[in-house]
Amino acid sequence: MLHLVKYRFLQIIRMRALMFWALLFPVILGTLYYFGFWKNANCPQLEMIDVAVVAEEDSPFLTFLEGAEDLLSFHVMEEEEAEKALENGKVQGIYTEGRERTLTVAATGVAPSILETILKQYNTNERLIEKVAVEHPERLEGMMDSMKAYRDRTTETSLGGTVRNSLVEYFFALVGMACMFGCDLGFAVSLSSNADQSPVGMRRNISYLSRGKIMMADFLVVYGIHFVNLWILICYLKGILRIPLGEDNGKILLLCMAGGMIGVSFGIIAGSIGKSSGTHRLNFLTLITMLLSFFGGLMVQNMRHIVDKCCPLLNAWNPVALISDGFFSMTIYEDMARYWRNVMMLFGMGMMFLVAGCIVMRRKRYDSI
Amino acid sequence: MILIENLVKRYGKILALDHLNLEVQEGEIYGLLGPNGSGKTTVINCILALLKFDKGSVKVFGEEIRPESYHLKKQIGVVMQNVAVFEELSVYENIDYFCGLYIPEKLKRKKLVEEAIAFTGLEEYLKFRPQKLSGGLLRRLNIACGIAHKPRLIILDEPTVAVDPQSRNKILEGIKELNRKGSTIIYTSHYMEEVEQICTKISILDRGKCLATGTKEELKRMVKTGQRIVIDTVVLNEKQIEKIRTLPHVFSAVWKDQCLMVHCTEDGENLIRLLSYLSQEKIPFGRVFSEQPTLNDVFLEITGKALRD
Repeated sequence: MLHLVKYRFLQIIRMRALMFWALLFPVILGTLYYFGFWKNANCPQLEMIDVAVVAEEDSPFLTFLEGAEDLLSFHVMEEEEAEKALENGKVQGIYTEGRERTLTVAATGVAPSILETILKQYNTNERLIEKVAVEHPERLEGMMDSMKAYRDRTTETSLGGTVRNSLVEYFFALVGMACMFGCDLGFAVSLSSNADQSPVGMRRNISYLSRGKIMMADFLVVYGIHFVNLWILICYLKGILRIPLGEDNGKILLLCMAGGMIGVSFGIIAGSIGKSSGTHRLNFLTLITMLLSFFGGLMVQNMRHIVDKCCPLLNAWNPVALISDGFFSMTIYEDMARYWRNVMMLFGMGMMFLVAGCIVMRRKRYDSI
Repeated sequence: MILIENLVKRYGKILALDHLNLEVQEGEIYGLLGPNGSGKTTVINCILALLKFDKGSVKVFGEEIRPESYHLKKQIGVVMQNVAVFEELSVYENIDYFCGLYIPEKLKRKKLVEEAIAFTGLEEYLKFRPQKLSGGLLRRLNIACGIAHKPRLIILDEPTVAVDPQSRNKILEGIKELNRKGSTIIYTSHYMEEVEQICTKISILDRGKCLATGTKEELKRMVKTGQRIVIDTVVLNEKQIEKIRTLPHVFSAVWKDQCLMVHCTEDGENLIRLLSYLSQEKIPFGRVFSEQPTLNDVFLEITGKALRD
């Protein structure tokens, strides 16, 4: 057995094209996703907004603006100087304090909107403080504290409490696709095990060792290689690209095991049935894999949710959607029942394909070779 | 050792084997001779229990062979028509891998692999991958993979296709050597010279039927042609050709492109008689060839077509 495993391992890892699709392609695609949208979405490079303020130096409004220093760069000026600066485009707005606080802008756009929002917020807060100070002075201190904590409370949070960025779903689907790419490995093994598919398959079919033993060795090798490939991908995504795929490595490992199994066994069954050429069937297999990945959300972020509404049965049987949903349950919903349901479904389907492949291949006697 | 009785195999509407009967005795080099599509490979695949067949029985070592007859398969080595090796493994790794499908013991296997390498003369190419080998070397690797476990029965299915003459001779010598060491050989080919050179018993197949079986001498005795005489650069008229046809033991004389071809039944005096007639008529002639019948002549007479038609 060790002999079979050793040489099968050497043979598979030397198949460069196969290893490219099974390992390098998901890594490359993950890197492209990262630089394409993830990095920008997580490190927004907002430009500072220059604004002129016409106010007394000890105005509480200036103290408030200091709190927005990561957004605004304000300059205290005389009214004429400020108007000139606005004309020259050196500032994008002018806050003027008088009987009423006003904002003057030269054009519409994002920056003037932000300036307007900030002013509105200040005015609202000011009125609120004045009202509380008059009507409930004893609550003034508590209200000031809660106002300071405002920003912390408005951070986007998931249902389960983990910080959420919905773009992470692309990476969930990417892992799903990588799991399904194991079908290339299973398919390669299947071709070289069937006498009607390759001369090597013929030679292996007439050997002294039982087909069951040979198939077992083959499966262990490709499954092992695929699992390691998936784990390399996970480590790369989590460790280097810092994609939040989940904290529980054990559960990620289990999801990869289930996903990897379905990928490999799908390839084995696809290689065992039918008599059309290997290239045709491999192309068909790639098409199926990409379709499943598409419906699993690899190319359109909300695809899985759209399919869920339109055709939930497809999601229930799509391995990529199940893997993606497994990650989703772990990191977004923190719904472990759903996670386990997905894992069991994947293992069940994987076993089904594997058993079917074994039944087809064992004791096979061909009509023609 | 192998007994095939009444074997029928159909591929859809095509009858590939038509009530075929064969018997291979231990120690023979048994040749299956026939043109492409005559059913040679189908017979082999039935012997190896790879193909389902419609009727008949195939017994190997006295037992009906089935896909799960591993104890029988252990004693069989096969050299395929197509080279059956892993492109990604080296010469040594390939031989070791395929030998390992029969011999689990590491030390014993190592010895056998080394013997197979020496037998096929692949010592200098152990670390080469198959794509780096020439056609002849690749065929030798294919043979090494099939025979490394020293099987009792070796089946070689057209092992010399697309091999240069030098490598072909080496392969044929190797096959005889394997037979001398005790293996029974089944050898399929559509090259009659090869079959004639190495086989101790031959079956001629055509359209899935066994047309004749015997040693090469027995087969040649089955046909009318005992001697074929070819005379180059000779000019004859119809009358003279007719006269030649009436010479004793001559049953056919054809004159075409200034070349005379005469078929005679076996007799020591045929050539002398023909040359005497030409001298007597003062007919000048060029080169003279006298040949014993070949298996191609046998095939031609039995089937009415040349082996490579």
